[in-house]
Amino acid sequence: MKTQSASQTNDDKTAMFRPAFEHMQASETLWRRFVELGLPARAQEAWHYADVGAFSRESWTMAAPADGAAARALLSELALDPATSLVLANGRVLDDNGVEPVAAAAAGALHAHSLATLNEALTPRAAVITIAAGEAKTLTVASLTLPAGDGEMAHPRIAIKVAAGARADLRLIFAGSAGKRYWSNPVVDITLGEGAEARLISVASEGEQALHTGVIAATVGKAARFASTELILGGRSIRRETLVDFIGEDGAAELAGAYLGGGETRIDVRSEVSHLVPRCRSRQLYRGVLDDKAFAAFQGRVYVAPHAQGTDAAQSTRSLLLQRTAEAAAKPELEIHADDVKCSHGATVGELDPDMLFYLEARGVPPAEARSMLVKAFIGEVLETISDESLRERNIDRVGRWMTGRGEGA
Amino acid sequence: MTVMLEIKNLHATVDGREILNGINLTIRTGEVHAIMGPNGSGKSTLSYVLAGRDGYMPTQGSVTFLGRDLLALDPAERAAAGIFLGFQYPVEIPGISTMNFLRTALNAVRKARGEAELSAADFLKLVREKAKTLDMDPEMLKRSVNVGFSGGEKKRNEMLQMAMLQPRLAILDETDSGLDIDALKVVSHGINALRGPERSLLMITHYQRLLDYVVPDVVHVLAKGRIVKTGGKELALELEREGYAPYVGEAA
Ligand SMILES: Nc1ncnc2c1ncn2[C@@H]1O[C@H](COP(=O)(O)OP(=O)(O)O)[C@@H](O)[C@H]1O
Ligand SMILES: [Mg+2]
Repeated sequence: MKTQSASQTNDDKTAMFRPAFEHMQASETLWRRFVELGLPARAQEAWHYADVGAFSRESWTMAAPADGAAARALLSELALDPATSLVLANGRVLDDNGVEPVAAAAAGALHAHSLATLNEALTPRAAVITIAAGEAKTLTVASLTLPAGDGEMAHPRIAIKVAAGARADLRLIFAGSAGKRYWSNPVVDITLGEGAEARLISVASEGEQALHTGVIAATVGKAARFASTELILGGRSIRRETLVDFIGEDGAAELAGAYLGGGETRIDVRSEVSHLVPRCRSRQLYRGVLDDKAFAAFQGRVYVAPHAQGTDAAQSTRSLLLQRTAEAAAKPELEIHADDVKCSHGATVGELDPDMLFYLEARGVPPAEARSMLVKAFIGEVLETISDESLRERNIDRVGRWMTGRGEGA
Repeated sequence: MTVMLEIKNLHATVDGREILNGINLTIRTGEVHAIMGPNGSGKSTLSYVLAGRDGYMPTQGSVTFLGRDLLALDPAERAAAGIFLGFQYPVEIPGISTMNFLRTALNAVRKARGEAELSAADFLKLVREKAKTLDMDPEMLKRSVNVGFSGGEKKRNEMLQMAMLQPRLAILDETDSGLDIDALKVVSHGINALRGPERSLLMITHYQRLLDYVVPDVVHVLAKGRIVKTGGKELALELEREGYAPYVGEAA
């Protein structure tokens, strides 16, 4: 059978990671779980569009602790202040700013996730951010991958616990060395207590040769609100996954993401929102911009459990192809077991509107700048979810620079 | 008076179909010309060819604007050179605020003309002042370009863009269509405000109504892609009385 042969191949490939487990003296229990899960394979629905070959294309070795000076140089390039940021370099805490790395097991939702298991095994001590009941905290987390050479991997792990009524504003940035073939496999595990609120703004801006496979797993308690906005614009092969489990009634999740790919970039964005209890509301808004021979897929899964009445779930995904050689795929997956449910989804793929381009040009805007304006407008809905104005502007500028890097825009 | 625009034997195709069949037209600096003609005669096509729209292919003839070969320039370069096209159907652009649109356009044009960009404060002052003369609510400028605007609001927005960009030659394609009488007066006022010895206007219209407010020096009749008659402002009244029927036949 197909699935069997797929897992067969992956069993073999997990052996490639044995030296890394031994090097890190990782737990045998996690090793067995990893082998049992196997490396992701296309035959698995959740990994259908993933660049699965990349995990076993080379024998990945663990990146050694990074050089602090190199990390600080990259931080300043990113205009981040080390004094106010939690900095992880090659998965290890470099500037803690009060955040202690402690041993922490991954949340249950991640137990069946092969790459999250790999992450947990190879980085047993997560950077844990705790926000006590009723408190509010804003924090920037930079996860940098600075390998000594090609073929090195890092498994950053961040656990965020937002207690009842607390509020977290977190900005995450994933970046790394330009020109090196590295693999960053970060896991962000976030738990929201009753009435808590967490807002995440993540930017994946890895080096142009990088493989990135990141997952955010949120466990949302009663009447809690989880909002996540992602901007994906750097890396050779990038998978970003957001998993949301509603475990208390009346919760809310707002997921937004914009992904931009040029060259031969491969982007795989996946979300899975599990409405396990009644009356939760989820919104998903994803926008992709693809140029050259880039490929991106969006796979959005919504699961509604039998008793999750009053669920309200909506999903919208749109892609813009700047050239016909680029490609976009969208696959909504709805699995609904309750009857009193509102669920909607919509997906479109299009090109820049020639009427809009001409209108801008006829007013004197040069063609490249006109294209850049329309691209920013296209992903505007996603960026507008960033309420902090200066942060929003910075991300709009990132998009502008991305366009300039493609030989477009001013 | 010096010649601002000279069109000689202009032919153009759209989708491989010849729409303009040898247009000859000379507009001198300071003049106001009107082009009238039945629907489908090629009025909008002429305006698009002059503005440089993709797909509107000049196949023969020449267009000289202020001594330059207009057809060799891209649309943005034409705008910088002083051409302004007022659209018959202004385009909606979700996600770009009218204000941002105006500022980007104005600064792009100024840069191309070798002028300094306007400061944010100077720009704001200018745009507010111009919006006021067009009876436009400044709140409207925060909304996406033309999105959710009424027909009249869209045309006022065209006039605002024209007032900001201060073109040498404005080509206004059916700026009067879809306007009630009050809006028509405001828009005409906007057009007249631009008139001056250094500027010229080419007004494209199906009806004579607008020409009561913006009085032309020369009126042309366009039929089947060719100018078939040229006269003074009284020609517009004649067309209003007698309709286009004689021209539809004649050019066949
Ligand atoms: N984009 C286009 N594609 C195909 N045909 C067009 C297009 N634009 C104009 N035409 C055709 O060209 C002719 C002239 O149209 P147009 O210039 O819009 O006339 P007018 O503005 O005088 O009403 C018409 O037959 C119209 O169908
Ligand atoms: Mg027309």
